[in-house]
Amino acid sequence: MSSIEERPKNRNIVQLDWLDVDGQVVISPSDGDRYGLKVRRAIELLQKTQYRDDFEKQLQILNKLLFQWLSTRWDDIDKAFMTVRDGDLAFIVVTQNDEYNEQFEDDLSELDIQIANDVDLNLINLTSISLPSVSAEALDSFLHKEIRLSFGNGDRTGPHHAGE
Amino acid sequence: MATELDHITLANKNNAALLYLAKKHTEYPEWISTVAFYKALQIVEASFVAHSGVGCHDHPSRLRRLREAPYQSMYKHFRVLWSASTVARYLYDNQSQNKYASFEDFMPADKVLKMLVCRRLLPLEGIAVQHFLSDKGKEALKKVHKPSLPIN
Repeated sequence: MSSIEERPKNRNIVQLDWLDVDGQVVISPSDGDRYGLKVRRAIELLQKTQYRDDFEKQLQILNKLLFQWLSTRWDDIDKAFMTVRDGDLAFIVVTQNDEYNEQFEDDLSELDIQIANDVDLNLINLTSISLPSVSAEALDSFLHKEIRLSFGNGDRTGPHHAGE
Repeated sequence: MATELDHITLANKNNAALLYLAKKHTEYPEWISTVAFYKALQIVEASFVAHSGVGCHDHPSRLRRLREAPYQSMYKHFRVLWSASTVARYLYDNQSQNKYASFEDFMPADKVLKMLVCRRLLPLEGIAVQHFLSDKGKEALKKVHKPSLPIN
């Protein structure tokens, strides 16, 4: 058995991709079973159990919005995650560089406000935080140990067709 | 429950700390980032109490409230101050192959005063004064005095 230090550190990360299926944008997790478990666990952590169905639908809408936002900014972004932090959803964006970028930060704030004021996302409380380029170990402390959804880099400019 | 003036008193204490640290800003960029954030927090809470009678008791509810009207104009400045102070307080990476090792890689010490204090805290104060604080609150608040800061 491998030691703790040798175990894969990304075991708990489910990667999301966005696909164009006959003109419809869908979110495709790398592991559907694990994704389903993580969504259910997030619903418990966020205390949205009584709104389960609506929350799942809103999460799908949210993921599409986040992919769209990312699609025009991948030159500046290394990784992006959704997680749970301080009792709410958190969008963690790791930038390519280590230095603070004022415009990028303003864009993130605008994204948060847009989502907060979207009438169809009334169950979603999301805060964005950008981190400079850091190691996986440093990033680890910012991600909830159970809820780690990574926005994949399939076709970064837009959803790609299923099977491509 | 803390009153508007209670929060202003705390904001002014943070301001005093900020001025003290500013003299050695090249040595303490992390602390400047953190204290600037905590001053902003007290100003936001003072604004909440003055404008709607009630404040918040935790970061998540405070952030949520700031994202809604009429406080949204403060959100973009507050979120950056919060985010930068989070990096300052919690992010340390001693993996030598990565670009980031400490807060100064994220925000060089000679830029902290300009980028966080002048371009985020100062505008947030302005919004609070213009739109939310009572006359007593405005009078009591010690705002950032840009000419006093050692900025090139």
